[in-house]
Amino acid sequence: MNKMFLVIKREYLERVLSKWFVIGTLLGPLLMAVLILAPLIVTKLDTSDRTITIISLDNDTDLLASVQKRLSDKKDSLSNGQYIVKTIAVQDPTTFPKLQEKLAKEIKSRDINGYLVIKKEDKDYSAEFFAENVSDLGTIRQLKDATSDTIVEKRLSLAGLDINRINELNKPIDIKTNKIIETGTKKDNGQSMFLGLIMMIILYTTLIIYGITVLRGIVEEKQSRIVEVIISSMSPLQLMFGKILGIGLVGLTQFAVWSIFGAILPGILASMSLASGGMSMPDIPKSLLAYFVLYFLLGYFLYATLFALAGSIVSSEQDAATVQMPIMMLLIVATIFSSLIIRDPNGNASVALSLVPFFGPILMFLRIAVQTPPFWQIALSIALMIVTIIGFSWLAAKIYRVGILMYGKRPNIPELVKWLKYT
Amino acid sequence: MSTTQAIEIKAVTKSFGDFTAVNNLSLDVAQGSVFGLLGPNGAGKTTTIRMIVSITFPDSGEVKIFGQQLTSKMQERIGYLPEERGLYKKMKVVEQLRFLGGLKSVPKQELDKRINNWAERLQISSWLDKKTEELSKGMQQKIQFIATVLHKPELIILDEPFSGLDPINANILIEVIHELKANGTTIILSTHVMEQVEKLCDDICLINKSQKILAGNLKAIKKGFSSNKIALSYEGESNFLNNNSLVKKTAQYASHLEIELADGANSQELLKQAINSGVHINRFELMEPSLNEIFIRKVGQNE
Repeated sequence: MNKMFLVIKREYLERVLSKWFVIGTLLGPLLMAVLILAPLIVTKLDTSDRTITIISLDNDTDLLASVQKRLSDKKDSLSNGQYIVKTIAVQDPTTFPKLQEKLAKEIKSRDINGYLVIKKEDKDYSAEFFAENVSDLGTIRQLKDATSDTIVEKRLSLAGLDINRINELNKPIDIKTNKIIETGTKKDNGQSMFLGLIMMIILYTTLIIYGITVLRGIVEEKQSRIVEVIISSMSPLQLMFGKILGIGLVGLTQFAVWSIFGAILPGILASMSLASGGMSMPDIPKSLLAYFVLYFLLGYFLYATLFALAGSIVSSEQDAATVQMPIMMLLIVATIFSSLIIRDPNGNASVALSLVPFFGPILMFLRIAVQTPPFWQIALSIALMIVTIIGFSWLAAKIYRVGILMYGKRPNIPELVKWLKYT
Repeated sequence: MSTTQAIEIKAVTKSFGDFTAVNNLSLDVAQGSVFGLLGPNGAGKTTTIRMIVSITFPDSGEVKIFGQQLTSKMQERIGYLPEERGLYKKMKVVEQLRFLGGLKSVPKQELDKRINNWAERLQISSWLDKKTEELSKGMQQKIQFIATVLHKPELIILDEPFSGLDPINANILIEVIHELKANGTTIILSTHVMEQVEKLCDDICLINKSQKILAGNLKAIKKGFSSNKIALSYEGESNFLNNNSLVKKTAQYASHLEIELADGANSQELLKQAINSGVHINRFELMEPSLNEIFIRKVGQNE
């Protein structure tokens, strides 16, 4: 035990004291903060207005005025810019080609962003938008809404219906979402899903990073051949589990640092008065944090054992890259199913997938975050993972003690089965 | 020296799948002796050594160290320097030695003192605070040797300890091995450099194709091999050397001509013919077989 402690200490200190740990730990939250803050900052910066010319080919000044009014009331959804709307009522359609040439020049010289042409065809209206940038979806949507609303209104009044009455009857209602939690209900506009997804991504990333760290550590010991000296002093099992535990502690240390950041970050955001509206940091329920740590530990032990097994059978970095891929695929597949979980957290497929031990750390955790499943399902998932961890630890231990002394060609599956029989 | 055996290996067999690495091997190593474990590449030396240090275990047969069955506690009485070796590249030398010493249960208060003493003895004190990757191969070799002896093992196994060392450092190592032997340490030396074996070893065991083909006291073995080589230097005609029933091969060296006698030929017959041919003989010497020759001859016969 004392020797295993020495291995844990060595693995832990070597990594926590390395500059990569410091950089990664600081950069992680910084990156997260940038991801959250960047859209806010960009929004604050981009206040450019859009200048649009609207043309009626039927000399319909009423229509133009109505669209202009609707558009001027609106703000661009992404930037804070206003719409500056000019109108041209064309009396003689034959002059239109000339007008188009003139407008094209204005677009080139950046006097206007684009122009919208509305015309009547067979008693109904059609509209076309001309601009250099037709990817400005926000503007195009606003144009569509304003024009469409105006024309619908026009059609209704032509049909002899009272516009105000229709608007009154047609008024949509807003649905406010409330999440039912154990202590009652609370307002939730998708925060719990957003939060669950972010925490799931952190789980996914850290499981891969720390799993690969275990694999690389084992390959390094094998490549440098120091492993033979070490196992002439202690059992290979102590070495393998010492390494897994030491690196796992590094992961927990990183989470500890991050949660301190997490506690400070909202304060920083508030002081910069950037966190406005719906972008405030949601409170993370304590129970969710506990499940996060639990599923990290379970997932880590499961995947670290797999990565350790893989590391022990290869002798070079290139081979290591080959064998780590199938293990990473398990995690990648799990994240692909996450959209299914969010749509239908308690569906049969979601329940089945989240109980698969390899998917548990990603999918069961996401279910807990989105819509806490019955407790027996969580308990079953934990139990299945523990059984799987024990099974794979046994297998990895058997393979590892043979593998670390084998060099050269990567063994195939039948050879690995033979290894299990070696003493 | 006491007559108890440091190592007793009895009828040990070890295979990996279809490949038998060690086949029915028995050998004894006397306590306090320097024992040469020899054999061509792939003969089964490393597997034998790994069984002695409890890294792998025999399929059948028995390995006893100091008269006892192998236990993990026994590992602390053994120091092992493997042939393929390395260190943690990013670790400081002194931390590396503390870690490896700790794994062998060297008491904490003793650890730094012993590290410093050995570093001084091997002239690497100024490198203790450096990162391992900054050291040359020879330097790293010395660090590894220190890690092997830090816990004062009673049995030391050195697999190719001289590879990568310059002549000066190789001599320091030879001195250290003599000192360790004088203190009663049993040493197993596995190497392909036969000169080192002749200088250092009391007993040897030659393994080929997973089997023992020669074992015993080195001096006795050398006596048992009659020489078929003659060092000759003469003045005159070389016609007498053209007798194929006597001479198999000749090789001209700066100071002398080396003659390999034909099978069953008598050296005195060659001397007689030389004198009869009228040449003037300055030197006619029966050469004692070198271990190198014995090695090549025995392994060659075994092919």
